[in-house]
Amino acid sequence: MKNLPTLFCGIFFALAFSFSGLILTGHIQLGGLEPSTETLVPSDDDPNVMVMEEGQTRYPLPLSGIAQQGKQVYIELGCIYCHTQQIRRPGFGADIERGWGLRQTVARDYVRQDRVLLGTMRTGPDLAHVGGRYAGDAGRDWNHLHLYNPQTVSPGSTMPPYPFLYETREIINEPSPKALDFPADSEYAPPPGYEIVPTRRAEALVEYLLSLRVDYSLPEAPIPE
Amino acid sequence: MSNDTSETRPANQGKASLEKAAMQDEQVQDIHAQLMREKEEPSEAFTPIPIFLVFVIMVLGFWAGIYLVLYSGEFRSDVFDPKFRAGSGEVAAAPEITLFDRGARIYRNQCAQCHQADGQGVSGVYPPLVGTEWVTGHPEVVARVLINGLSGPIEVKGNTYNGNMPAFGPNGLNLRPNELAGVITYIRQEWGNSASEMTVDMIEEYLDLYSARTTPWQADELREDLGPIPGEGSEPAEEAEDESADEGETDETEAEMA
Amino acid sequence: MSNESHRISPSTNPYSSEDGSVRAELSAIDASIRTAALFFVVSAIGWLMIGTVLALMAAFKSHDPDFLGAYEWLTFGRVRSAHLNAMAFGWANNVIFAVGLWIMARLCRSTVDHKGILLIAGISWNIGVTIGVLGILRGEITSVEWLEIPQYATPMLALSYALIGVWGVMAFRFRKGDHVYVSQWYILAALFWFPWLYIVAQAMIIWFPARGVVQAVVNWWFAHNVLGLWLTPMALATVYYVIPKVLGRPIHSYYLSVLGFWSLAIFYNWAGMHHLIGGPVPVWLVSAGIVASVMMVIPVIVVGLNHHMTVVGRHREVWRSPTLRFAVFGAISYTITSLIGSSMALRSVNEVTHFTHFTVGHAHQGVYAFFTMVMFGGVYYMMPRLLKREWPSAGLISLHFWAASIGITIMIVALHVGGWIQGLQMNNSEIPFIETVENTVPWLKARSVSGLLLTVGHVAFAINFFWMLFAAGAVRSRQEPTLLTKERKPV
Repeated sequence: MKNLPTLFCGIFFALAFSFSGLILTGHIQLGGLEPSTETLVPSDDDPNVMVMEEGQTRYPLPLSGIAQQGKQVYIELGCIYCHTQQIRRPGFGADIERGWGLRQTVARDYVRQDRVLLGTMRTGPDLAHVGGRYAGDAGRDWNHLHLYNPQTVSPGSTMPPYPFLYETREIINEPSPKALDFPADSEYAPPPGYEIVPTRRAEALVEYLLSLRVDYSLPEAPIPE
Repeated sequence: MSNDTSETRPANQGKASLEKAAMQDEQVQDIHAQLMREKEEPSEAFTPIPIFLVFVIMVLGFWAGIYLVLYSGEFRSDVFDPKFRAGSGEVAAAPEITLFDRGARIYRNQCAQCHQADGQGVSGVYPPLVGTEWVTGHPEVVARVLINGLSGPIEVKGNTYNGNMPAFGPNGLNLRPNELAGVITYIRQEWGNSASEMTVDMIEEYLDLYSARTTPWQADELREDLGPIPGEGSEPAEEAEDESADEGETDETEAEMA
Repeated sequence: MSNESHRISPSTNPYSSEDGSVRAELSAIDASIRTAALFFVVSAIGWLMIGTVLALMAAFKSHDPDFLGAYEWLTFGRVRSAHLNAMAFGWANNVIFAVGLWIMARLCRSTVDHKGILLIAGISWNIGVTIGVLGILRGEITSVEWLEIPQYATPMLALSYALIGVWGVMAFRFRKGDHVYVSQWYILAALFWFPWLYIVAQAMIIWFPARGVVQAVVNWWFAHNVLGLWLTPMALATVYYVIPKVLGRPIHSYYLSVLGFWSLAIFYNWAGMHHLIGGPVPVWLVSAGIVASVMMVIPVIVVGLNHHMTVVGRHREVWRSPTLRFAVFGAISYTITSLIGSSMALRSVNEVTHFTHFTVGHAHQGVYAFFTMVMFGGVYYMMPRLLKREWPSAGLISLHFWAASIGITIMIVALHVGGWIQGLQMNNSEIPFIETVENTVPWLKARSVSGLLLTVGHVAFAINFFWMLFAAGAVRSRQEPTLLTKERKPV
């Protein structure tokens, strides 16, 4: 090849082609996606146009403040390298049969996220709907035990322990209500007279995990009956 | 080579001067052994492209076109299934599965983390489900626990457990009635347990009763004010018969609970 | 390769004017780039060692989670990412700046006139990567795959890249001679593509985050193209350069070179979407990625055929030359890994391999068995010309080759088999998830063993390199090329 302009134009257009085909087109299609009500209703003006229902909650919901801080902890610890946050459709993989979610996740589920943490590795289970599997005080307790040392509640797991998110301290007067409740004769329990309490970061991280729930329908992805 | 670290090099002033420089002794020193044995700068021959490659490219191009037409969901932004066809009918209904099988699946996914796959639990926090009257006794007891959760200490088979059981009813993890019925059926009939199944009708009655409750149960309230077993309520005789059949076990368990 | 040092053919006689002037010119070019190239190779080897240590830690942690578990800055997510960035931006980019720019300068027949700027840009690139990797370990990791380096270090990287990359383009602009060789196309294109990818990805994910899954689309467009449009062209350019240089044979077919280059340019940059198969992005984006991935069969077959037909019949020389032994190992891996990659993009295969260690194995086959092995070959070829001395030890080169090739083969097999089993079990909801995790552990242990082997190879490489760099008289005065098998004496 001797013709430099041809070579350079070719090099330029090769990448420009995929840049416009994938990135720009993708951005045009999805860049304006908004949260939506669970179902659409025909518009008053034109019954052929479907619009969102007035007064209904629009999903996905924004994260609470502490959950947002917990997301930052999730990012700092690199949880994404072993956990995805995407549920594949029924019949493709066993995501739904494993109870990882009630329906496939779709583009709209992620529109409120300033950093999208889809992930590509499942050394551990998917977490898109983990708040739907572990909820309330029980879920909170389980997550703290599991983060402090996964072997406590999930023997055989290869997940790393996060003891640095917890503080081991002497019980001064009364035990803290936040102290971790270890199974009897657990080898990971603190010595008598001591207790293990979550730091603010651990609490935020667990609130974030509890907030991960895809338990609402979207017009393009209803939860099947 | 004796002078091979010499930094002198030909001035870069065109071919003529290079040629001249190369002829000078000092410069020749710089064309060191490694450079001397080098082959010429690379070049290319002009062998034609084999015909089978053209064929491969055509086949692949043909396949690519077909694939894009068939599996691109009409280039819509809201289609995520490659098999999408506009105006095609509903997706085929999921095959029917038994309550027990449905429950087994849910148990594996949502219960086994704490109660373990063999139903033996974890000492001190997560009680066993095998061979205990709490599970195999009156179905309303286990339905209450599932719907509203349980907190505080509970004594099971002589040991005390202090954990928090989450609610799986509408105020909690919100399993559907057939899922609740399935999982209760499963734990009442797996691992050698052999209690009656929990039908969807039964669990719906219990859901009507307890959906409104927002606090988890305490162990000592669980056995209070139990209703008749749904569907069997009008036949107290049969119920009595059942109880007498279970009598030995019941006594034992009640002794434990005391 | 060796015979020629004894019997110089008439055409390579230094006193024949044309050849002499070409060699004098090459000598001048080598001298002009020597300082910068040496700096880049030394940095690359430094990063290779750092990346290897981080990789070993991550590998041990993956089956023994309590290993160094109490230190937040050494938690798996960070060590793994520090490893990736040290290797990708420390090792790979530095070795590309050394070998790629050297090949470009030689083929363009232009000297580096402002080597000071190149050196300063190189130093600031390495400072940027150091800040970035430390930032990752400190927890300022972004958790965006291949873009983990914290925001404050990236402008420095982009700027220093601009100063380095523009130099390659300038060399091309002021080239002499009419013919533009295939290596030059690849290097020119890659130098131009990489900053485009990097800036768009930084802008749309980190600086001004795009909405929702558009970020994921950008992320995989970037991350797959770092391999496809940056590492791959640079490694192919190196293979295209060293094969004819060592064998003294022209490349089999110019037409195949052209076809291979343009089909790679067109198809590779769409392929990244196969990382989102089954994910929450519109299905047409994914299908486009699948089609492009399968179409990658064309450049792979074409390039593989072109290389094969060039070396065919000269296998003894390939085996004897350190350069070609590594480069041809890499070229063969390119064919294998790309064909596996194309099949992994098919939905039915991807359903199993996605989200598993299979993908990790595939990534290492591409970046190590292909790219890194080729670059080792490039360094083995370049150093004697830059330093005007020979590699001190053939034994260490042999050790490097065997440890690296056996190590990476064990890793690839272990992760492919283990990952496939993991995928099958993950898709069977009858098997509790924790069992699928436990079943990967033996394979991950095999991966750690392979990591130890690779470490042995890297240490052998580093010892040989620094021995050569700070060589004493005995090594300096050697005139015989360092070859890996005894040549047959001509009768």
